[in-house]
Amino acid sequence: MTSITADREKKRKIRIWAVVVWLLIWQAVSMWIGQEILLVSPVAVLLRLLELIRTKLFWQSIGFSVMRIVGGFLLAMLLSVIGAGLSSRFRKVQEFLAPAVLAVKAVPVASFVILVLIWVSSENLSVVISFLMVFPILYTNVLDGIKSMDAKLLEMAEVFDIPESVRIRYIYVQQVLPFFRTGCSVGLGLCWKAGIAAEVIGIPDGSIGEQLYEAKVYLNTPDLFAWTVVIIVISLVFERLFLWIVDRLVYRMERME
Amino acid sequence: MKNAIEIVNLTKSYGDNTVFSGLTLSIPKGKTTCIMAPSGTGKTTLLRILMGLEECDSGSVTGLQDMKKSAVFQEDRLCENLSASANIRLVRRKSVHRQEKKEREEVRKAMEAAGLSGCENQPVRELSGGMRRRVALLRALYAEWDVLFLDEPFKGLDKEMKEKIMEYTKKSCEGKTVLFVTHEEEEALRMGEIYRLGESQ
Repeated sequence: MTSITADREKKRKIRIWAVVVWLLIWQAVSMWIGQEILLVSPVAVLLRLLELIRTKLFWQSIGFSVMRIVGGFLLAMLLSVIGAGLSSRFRKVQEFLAPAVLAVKAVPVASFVILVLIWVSSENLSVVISFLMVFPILYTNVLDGIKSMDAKLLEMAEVFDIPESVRIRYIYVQQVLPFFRTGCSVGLGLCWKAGIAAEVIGIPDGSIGEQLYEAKVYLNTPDLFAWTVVIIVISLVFERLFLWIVDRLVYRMERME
Repeated sequence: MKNAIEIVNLTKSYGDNTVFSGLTLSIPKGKTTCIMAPSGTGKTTLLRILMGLEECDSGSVTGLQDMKKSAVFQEDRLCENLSASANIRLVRRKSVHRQEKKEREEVRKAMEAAGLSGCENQPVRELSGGMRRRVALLRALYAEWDVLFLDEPFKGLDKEMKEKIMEYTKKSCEGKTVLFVTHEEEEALRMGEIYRLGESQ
């Protein structure tokens, strides 16, 4: 018997044959147009990527952007958990944070980028943007998780007089983790999209955003595609890695190792 | 410490519905007292008041102060994502990570006695209703307690398993203060002294 989740995973899974067909379509359309500047072929992108990999600038740009975007994400993760914890305990904190969270959710990324550029250097722009994109999602998710706590389990903890630290770790965290995981999954994708977009506008030296901007200025389509591929790969690797760590923690907790 | 838990003139109602009025009862310490009554006559409410989860409208309860409590609730109240063994170990006041091999072994043996061998590391969400009930019971027995509240603890167990678990529970509770709520006469007769709620209120 297969579970519903496994079934869904199967349905969602990307098939290699489908990817190959899309690559062939891309190659065919590119050959039909016959102008690399309009649509570069996948083969040309791959070749350009292999060239880029050998340069120092490639790795420096990746290091620069990863550090800042991931830094913003981790900062948002930390503060959203603390914020949600305080909000669930003190109504005033929740009331105080509610308008700010709503505003951050509603304001377009581009407006934030321009606004933040006035306050901070372009070098640290992606940290702030990544933070602003992730914080409201994770804060809302974690708070929802805490609010949906099973009151009967809390009563059980009360009767057995389970210490607060144990309650937090094994009752609260267990109940909130699925909400946190979903928030992380959404936030991780978003922080990369918004972070790179911010870098393209702010053009900090030695960032992936700067490379994308230069590709646009010089109409260097192979570079544009190659860097886009790099962003997708980094984003996916980071998402998988992070969620894997979260899942491992859940696994260990479930067994109290 | 008094040698009994004294319930005097206890009254509880929800709106116009009076659950019990002027309930007076003496529960001897070191024994199992079975409270019997048909469904909906306030057995669970009484336990909830004694456990400190609900306030009574009037009356008093004495003799429970400073007593460590343990319970099997009407529902299993297990942490779904935790393993069966982890659910049981959770209630020791000591940090679960500092529990020694000896304590883990104690849980393993108890699970074996309750027919739960091999389920130690299985998340409880994957266990059947009867297995979950046994985990809830083992958790209550494993905790450090002075008084144990059992609210229909054998519900959902088949006849053979019920026999086995009742025997195990009785043995584990010998000489201890237990308040056992049920509507099954046979269970009550086996477990201890019977008090019928509603008869001498």
